[in-house]
Amino acid sequence: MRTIYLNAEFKCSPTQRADTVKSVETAVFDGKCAEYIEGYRFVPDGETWVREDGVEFAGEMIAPWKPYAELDAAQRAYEQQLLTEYAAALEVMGVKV
Amino acid sequence: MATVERAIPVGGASLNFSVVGGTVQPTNPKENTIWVNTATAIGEWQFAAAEPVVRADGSALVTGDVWIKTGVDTNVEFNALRKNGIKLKLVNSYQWDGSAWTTKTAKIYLNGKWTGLSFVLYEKGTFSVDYSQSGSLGGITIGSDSIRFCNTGYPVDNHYQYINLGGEIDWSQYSTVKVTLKSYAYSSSKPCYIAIGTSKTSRDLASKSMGSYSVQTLDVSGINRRGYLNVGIQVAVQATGTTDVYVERVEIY
Repeated sequence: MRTIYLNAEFKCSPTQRADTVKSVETAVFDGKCAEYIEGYRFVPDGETWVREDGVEFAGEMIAPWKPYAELDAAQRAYEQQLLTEYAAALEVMGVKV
Repeated sequence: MATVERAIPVGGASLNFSVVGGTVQPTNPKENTIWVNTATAIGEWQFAAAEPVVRADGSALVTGDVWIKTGVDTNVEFNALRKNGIKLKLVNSYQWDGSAWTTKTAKIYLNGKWTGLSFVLYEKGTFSVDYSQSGSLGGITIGSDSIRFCNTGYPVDNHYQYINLGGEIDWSQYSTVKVTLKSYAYSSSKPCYIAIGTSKTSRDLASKSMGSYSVQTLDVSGINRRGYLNVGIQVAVQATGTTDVYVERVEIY
């Protein structure tokens, strides 16, 4: 569970920013990197987001607003970096990976 | 791929639209341009509420022929004739592949913007796609006019029950999932979801927790990959309350 910050368009951020208007507590983004989180929109229960074509989406809705392929690539790179760091730490402790 | 526009037939000077094919959305279209997203050249096209078995002149269907299904409750209505003579409500589009009608996404340029024709996966007892269930929670009943999602128990573990519609779908063609409810009662600890997942049991790409509105929508415009449309209940351990949802229509566009 972590705090996610939302702007007026319900776009997510892992940190508070100048355009932050509210925050939510959610486990949906546990383990996700900042770039992945920032590509999502979180519309809380009781609120509504209107897409530019006029279609309305009531919360609670969690959906990517950036092309998912980009978010997936960022998350995979993040996880690979973590694996590299873990392997290096294990090697320091004398554990062969 | 270059667009292919079917010639307006004799007597068609009063028609107020055109049907074009191709894999690239047309730029600078005229009002009421209907674009069928296909790599196969379009032959004859026809509007019909029921699946055509022959061409309009009675001859056999030919590979490439297009059928644009008309209906009553749709998201698209336009004037087919120049002097507002006939209004058509468009539902789905299909193309003949030589032996069957296959679904093709389509859009119409209406009032200065593109609007996608919806593809109805389920409506009031009728599935237009394959479907399957997954999970150990139970509680999904396929009724004569709706799909019921119900849980009143007190689970001792984290359970779910999903129905998957249509198998793996290429979401890059769609922007919206729309679910119409016949009725709804819910417990916040037992949400009923509309979700797009990387498997038939997940909701990891996008999800919508259904609330008390008769029409529920999920934005999928950012999902440029294949995934599964799953509808169902996720119940946390020892959750209380009752969720009882009746779905009567599921469409994507």
